[in-house]
Amino acid sequence: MNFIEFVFYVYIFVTLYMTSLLIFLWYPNKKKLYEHPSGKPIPVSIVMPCYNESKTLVEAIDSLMHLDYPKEMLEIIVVDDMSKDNSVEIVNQMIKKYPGKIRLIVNSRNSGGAAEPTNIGVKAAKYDFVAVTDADSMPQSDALIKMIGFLQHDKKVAAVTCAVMAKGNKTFMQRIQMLEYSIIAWNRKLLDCVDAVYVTPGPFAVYKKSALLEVGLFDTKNLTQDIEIVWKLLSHGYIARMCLATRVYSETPEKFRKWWKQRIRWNIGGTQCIVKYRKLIFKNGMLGAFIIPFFSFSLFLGLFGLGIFTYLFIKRIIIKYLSVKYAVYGGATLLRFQDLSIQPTVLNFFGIALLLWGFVFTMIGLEIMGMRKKPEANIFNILFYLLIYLTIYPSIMVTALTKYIRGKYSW
Amino acid sequence: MSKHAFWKAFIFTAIIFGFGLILGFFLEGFQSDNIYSKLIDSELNLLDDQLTHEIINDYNVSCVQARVSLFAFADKIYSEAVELEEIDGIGRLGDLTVLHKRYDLLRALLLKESKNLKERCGNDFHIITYFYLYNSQNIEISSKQNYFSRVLYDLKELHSDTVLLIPIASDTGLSSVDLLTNALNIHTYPSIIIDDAIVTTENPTLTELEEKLVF
Repeated sequence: MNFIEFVFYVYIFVTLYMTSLLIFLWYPNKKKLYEHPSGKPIPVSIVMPCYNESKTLVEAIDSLMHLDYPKEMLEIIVVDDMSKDNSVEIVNQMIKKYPGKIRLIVNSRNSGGAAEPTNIGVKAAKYDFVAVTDADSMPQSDALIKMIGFLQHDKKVAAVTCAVMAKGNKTFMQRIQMLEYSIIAWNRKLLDCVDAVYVTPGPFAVYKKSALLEVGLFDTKNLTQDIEIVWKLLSHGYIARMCLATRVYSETPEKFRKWWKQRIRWNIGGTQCIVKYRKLIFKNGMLGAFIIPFFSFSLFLGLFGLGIFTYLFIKRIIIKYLSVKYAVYGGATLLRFQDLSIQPTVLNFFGIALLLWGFVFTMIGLEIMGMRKKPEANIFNILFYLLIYLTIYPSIMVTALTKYIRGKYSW
Repeated sequence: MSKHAFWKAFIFTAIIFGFGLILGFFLEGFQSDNIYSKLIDSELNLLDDQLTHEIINDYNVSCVQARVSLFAFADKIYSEAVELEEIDGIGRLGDLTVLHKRYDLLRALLLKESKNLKERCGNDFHIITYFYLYNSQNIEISSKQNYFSRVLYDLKELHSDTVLLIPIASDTGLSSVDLLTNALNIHTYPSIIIDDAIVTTENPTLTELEEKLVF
């Protein structure tokens, strides 16, 4: 076995371990996944950072106003980050539609991210519990009441997230993201079983305002402030919870280019978090014991794997190209029967076994998330997700890391 | 809290992975055994051929019969070598170097036998020896070797009755092969030798090689 083969076996082991871990978390907890502590309605401020969201603002605010929650206990604070479209005008119309329920704060500058307007909103919030939502997201009506109980029943819980589901299904990219978001939500709930929720995504999350203020609010320099805030809370001894019993639907990129840009941003943000909290590795409970090593190791494996794959792929292409070129020149046969013959190797068998295992894992996830019978969850889409979509990630990591090192990144 | 899941998953993964490796060794062992039994068969064939040639020499038995036997043997170990190359792809747990060495030794012996037969029974066939590197990581050499094996395969197909093709890896540490390459003054790989004369180390066309096949 040479070095490259050894690396392949390490990859197989790690992949098998991570999926097995999630299965071992799922099986004993499968009846409890949708459980949530009963919550007692208490006043909540909902902060909605907004930048050029005119297309989705009305629907987003309407969905908040239709939450199954006493309206007198809600205030909505929209913080506009100097939008160039008519977002402010739309918010003013919504203020008239729901008098006394919505406040508009216009930031004095465009901050270029969601963290600064969110912090402005949190500081302005009247209540002790603060929900943060994106202006293109629509929580289910039961979202707040099901999530609030987590914060009320455990003093250590400072943040709660719910299942973020992809809203649109117009394009192929969006349909694949529907599968991805479902699996991510399921996995996040499983990580909740070991106190390892590492992000409270922007679409909808509820926090204790006191905890946010204590840790210094959202990091305005981080491109994924929703990951960073959880790491910061964890480093201060708090924990985050995941409520699978409710959902928020969020817009997803329709085209590959926007999707790529979004994922680059997520990966740069993740890298910023690793760098910022690197000293906590193997310290501070699950943050240091699992989350930081998991993120770091994933980044390392992704980059290293892509490097090896690229090396082998380019070498093979060059050898094939040159030998075909020589064969054309020399009048030799271009393709022989033995070129097509494939002898099964152990790696082949491991690869196939891993694909089948991944397929079963995905199907379980889709079943639990109620997605399995949806038209988007057809065999072609699932195989595309497993074989193509997920394999693009290492390329995203490389691009993100390059941008991070060069310091050329923005929201 | 389900923190025991970390250990449980690790043990489960180790068991599954270990089971996979054992199955892998079993599969590869089966493939290697298959080739190994062919190797033993080929070694017996070679001994048989060596004895045949001595009988030809001692009792003046037909050269035609000996030639047919030698060609059949050369073709047999050529196809076995191809099979060995196929199972020796990326992802193997075990090492096939010893098997390769034994085949190279067998082919070196075949080369010697072929020369003996050529001397004893006349110059009506060509011995093409193809020296290559088994462990080359060099892209240029790998590409050339890929091409050389194609063009020689074609040459053998076109002149199966008059061409005896003997590929030998020169970097497996066999002293007899080292001696042979030194004697033939081969320092560049891959190299094609037709009847003990270096023909080329550059990319020859099929036509150029055919032109060398004159008696």
